[in-house]
Amino acid sequence: MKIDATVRRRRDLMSQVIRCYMHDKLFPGLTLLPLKMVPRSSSSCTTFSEREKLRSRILPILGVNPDAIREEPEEILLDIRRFLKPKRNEGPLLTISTESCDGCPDGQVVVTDSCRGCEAESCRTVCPRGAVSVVNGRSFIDQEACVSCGLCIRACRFSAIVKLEKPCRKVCPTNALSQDEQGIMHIDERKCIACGACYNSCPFGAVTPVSELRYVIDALRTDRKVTAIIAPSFIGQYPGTMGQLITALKMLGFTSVYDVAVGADMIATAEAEEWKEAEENGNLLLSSCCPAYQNFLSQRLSDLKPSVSHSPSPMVALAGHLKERDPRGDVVFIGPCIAKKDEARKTGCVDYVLTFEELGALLVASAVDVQELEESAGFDRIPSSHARGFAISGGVLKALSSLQKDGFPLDHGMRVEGFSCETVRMLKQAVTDETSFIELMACEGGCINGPGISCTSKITRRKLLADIAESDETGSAGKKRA
Amino acid sequence: MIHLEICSGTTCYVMGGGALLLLAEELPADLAGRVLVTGSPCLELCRNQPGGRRAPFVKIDGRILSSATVESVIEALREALDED
Repeated sequence: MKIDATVRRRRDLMSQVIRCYMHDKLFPGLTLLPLKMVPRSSSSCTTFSEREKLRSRILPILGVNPDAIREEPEEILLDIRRFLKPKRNEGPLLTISTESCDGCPDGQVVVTDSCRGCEAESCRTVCPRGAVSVVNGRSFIDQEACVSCGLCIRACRFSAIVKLEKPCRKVCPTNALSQDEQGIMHIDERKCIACGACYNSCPFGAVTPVSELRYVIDALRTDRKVTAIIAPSFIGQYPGTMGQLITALKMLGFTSVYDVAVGADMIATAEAEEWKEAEENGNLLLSSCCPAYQNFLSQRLSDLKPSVSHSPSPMVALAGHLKERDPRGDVVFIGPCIAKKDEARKTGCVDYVLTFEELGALLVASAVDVQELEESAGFDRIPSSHARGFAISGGVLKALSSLQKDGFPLDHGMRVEGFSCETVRMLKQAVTDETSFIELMACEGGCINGPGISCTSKITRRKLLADIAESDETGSAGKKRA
Repeated sequence: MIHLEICSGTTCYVMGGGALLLLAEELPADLAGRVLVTGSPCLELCRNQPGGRRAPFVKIDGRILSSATVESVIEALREALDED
């Protein structure tokens, strides 16, 4: 994920909204925010429109589903407390701000300035509908006649013809996005698998998750114990060391902090045993830790659902263990994943889920400079290095392989990332061939590249691999990198 | 040698400063070996945001660059080298 101006603006807005909430300055704080973030420019129309876009994105940051409210954003902000419900949103996980959605063109085939008006006129000759003509020495496509077959795109030797696609729709693996008459996009909650691909694809910042930050802040202000369980891909997501990050979380009010890799240690043996049984019985076992992939299987490959491991995900295993010990305490999962919010709702053992990006906004809003803090001793329990590797694609397979006896056909295990036609074909084929285990990851590269990351996955991958290698060598928990 | 200081305060880091730290090894050929890249404690610029400037902040030989991206930093480094 590239941290561009869109990402920076949404993080800026998120941290400033949260700061207003924490300091009880929602009014007039929130009404002033768009004015502060978008200073008056020469075009009053642009200024007004940009401010209105920001206003529309404030509600989801405060955990409110904007689709359920009829009032205009400006009106809402005058009395926002009226819309803040004490219980967390049970509606959609992701929403699209109609004010921010540009209604990008979709499916149109157009000729770009690269057209040379060549003699070959391949685009015109291949068109089965006669939609291409040459006007003023350049190709022209009659949109009424064009059926977007793409033959002219392939025929052009200058790559001068392109098909316009809505970025959000292009990346959605389940066709959950549809447009209304104005071209504004909407997410069909029944089809959405919460993979979060659309979140970072929109260059207008129109896709916004409905955050649980406000509920976490409220929980941290109570006398209840609030435990943070943080995904192993936290490394490199914030400045400073692991010990300093733990101190930062405790400063925010978390009572204790666990690495979710501890949960991976809890389930790895049972899942390795399931793989062994599947191998012996000629069956296929699919990993269960990626909630977006579980949703995808339910929707698109339901025949494969019985093959999914019965082991809970590391998040659920660890949270369940903590809830058993202290049923009254709250458990907050912090990770790179949006689909974990869905898994938390379905399983009920995690109270709230924050992405790394949301934790980053909370740290900024709280003015916590992580790298200036004292180091805490470490996590409340130290996970194995194999378990920490779950965050990187191939890590689950590696961890389970390490638990098999010599002579086990490890080459019957494989990994699948993403939802392309090729991966679906591989999954279908695996039912009939020798494959006995598949690690499923929605995000390419694994959880380290999730939609809710705070910093680039390249840094996380490098630091995590180095840390794992070091702990393998020394038998310790490795260096305390964050 | 030009000194590029990348603010590693929390605000700058999450606004993209963290990714800028990779610049040390991703400099284009014309800049490689001519720039010293270091992380810096919080430069305290995010709190004041002078003139509406925004994080992430970097310093190039003491000169402040706001809303820094890989592209804008490389451009500023080239300008600094041209001036030398």
